[in-house]
Amino acid sequence: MKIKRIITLLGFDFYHSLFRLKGLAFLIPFTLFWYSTLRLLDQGGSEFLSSIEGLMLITRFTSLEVAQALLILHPPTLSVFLLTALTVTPLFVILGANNQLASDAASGSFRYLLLRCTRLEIFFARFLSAYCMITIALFFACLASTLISLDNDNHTLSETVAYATQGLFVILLYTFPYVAFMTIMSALMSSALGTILISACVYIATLVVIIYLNDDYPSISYLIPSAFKDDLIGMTSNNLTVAIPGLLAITIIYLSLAWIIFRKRNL
Amino acid sequence: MMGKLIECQKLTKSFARIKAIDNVDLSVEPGQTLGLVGPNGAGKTTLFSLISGYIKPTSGEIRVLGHNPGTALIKGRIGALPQDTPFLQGISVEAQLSLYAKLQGYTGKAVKAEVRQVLKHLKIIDLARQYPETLSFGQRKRVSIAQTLIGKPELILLDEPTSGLDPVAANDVRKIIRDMGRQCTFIISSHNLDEIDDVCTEVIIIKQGKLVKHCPISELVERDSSLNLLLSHSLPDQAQKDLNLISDIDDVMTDPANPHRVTISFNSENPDQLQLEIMSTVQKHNVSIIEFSRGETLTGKVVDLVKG
Repeated sequence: MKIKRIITLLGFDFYHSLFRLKGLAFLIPFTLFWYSTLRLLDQGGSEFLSSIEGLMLITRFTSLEVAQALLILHPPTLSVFLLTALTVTPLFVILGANNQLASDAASGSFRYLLLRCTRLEIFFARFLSAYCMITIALFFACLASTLISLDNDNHTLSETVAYATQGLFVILLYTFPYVAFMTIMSALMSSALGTILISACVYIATLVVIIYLNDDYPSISYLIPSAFKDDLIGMTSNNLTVAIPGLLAITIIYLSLAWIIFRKRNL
Repeated sequence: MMGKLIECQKLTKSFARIKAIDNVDLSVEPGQTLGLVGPNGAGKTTLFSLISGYIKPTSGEIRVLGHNPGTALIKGRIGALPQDTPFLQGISVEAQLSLYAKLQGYTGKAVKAEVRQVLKHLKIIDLARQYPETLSFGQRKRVSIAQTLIGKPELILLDEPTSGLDPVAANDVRKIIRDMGRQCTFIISSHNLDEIDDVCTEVIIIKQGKLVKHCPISELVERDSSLNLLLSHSLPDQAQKDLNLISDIDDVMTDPANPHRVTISFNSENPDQLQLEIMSTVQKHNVSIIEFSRGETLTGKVVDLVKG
């Protein structure tokens, strides 16, 4: 495996994804969603969040203690960005990472690449390319949130920037296993649309199974990354000590499964 | 296994219960131009895919340039024209070929230079900025052939390289194969046996996944023991008698399906002289020779072997 070849493949796939359906199917809804969400925050949303009503609203997603920390100790605009981003991550990852391998494996386009690089290089390049696109999109959304926060929230620049950086790191960490999950689906399927549908079905089915069995087998919730969501929202060092290795372990397990499927696939 | 370009031992590839390649032992030396022939469904494309590393064998072993086809060690050393393989849509021909050149180790200005050079070689430089989906079948085929030449690979596999090309373009491709055949090894899969006969030195015949024959074409087809004539009229009886009187001629056979076509078998130490004698004997009886060829045809031999 040559890193240089992975970088070449990654750069090519990333650059061309931006101008093709593969990337636009993610970038357009992502931009529209964050534009409307951040606009709401900019138009008095953060003021509302700092109030009792806002606090009550946030407690629907997390505990009162955490909600207080999010809205009082930290800039509320960024806290809402963090909570929203973590909530919508599965949806946007399904849109942004669905066509890592599926359609090119089915059409045979990989045949031209396979003469010049290994399957593993293609596999990692496509995974990283999808992850990079989502990362960059999230970075810009976070940047916009930070600017709105600086304008509306009563926190210092250094506080805001530090919290934004922390928040972005947490969101990107949470995104990692979801992209790996999409790698499995994409290695299995033969089209982008098929991957989207099957991924949504598998994810929902897994959630239902987890909800159904969670009381008897609490550890079953760790099958999917959302088990670590509360740890990430809390953002304390204790929580992150559990969440970081946990999410990385899930990512490695997902990627290993995806590789087992992809390496045996007839291209 | 050192020194062999391709070495297969008991190579088998099954799809469900169908054995597309069945226990094939094959050894290919470098520096040849090989034709891979066989009827539809014989396993030619599967063998190509195994050599290229697109698919893995069900059992047996395959070594290409001394290595497993999937390993990084031979990447960039093989060029292949797979059948019906599309390029990525919405990305220009030049951008895609540049990616392949970069993956083969070209950097900076050398990338563009290599891409332009192969496109010029195939006379398709004007297609560089076009998108694959806007090209005709023949143009796409030539772009596909161009990508096989990037980086001057040691082994080039071409699956039906001239099908769908106009005669001029097909001739250009054959010329490239002949010219480059001195520097690298070509394996060409084609149903056009005249083309194989024209550009290849060796032939691999497979049928139902099994290797039927692998030998030099010259060994398979006797060039100096027969003469094939297409005449303006049927051969008159007297002409046939005169031909049979020539001492070196073994047999004069008229094709029952086309009485204008005659095959003369002979055994002579001076076939060129005998050929002149045969032609003058035929023309003496006011029969013109429209077409003639010496030796057996590859098509006939392959058909015999595949039927048998």
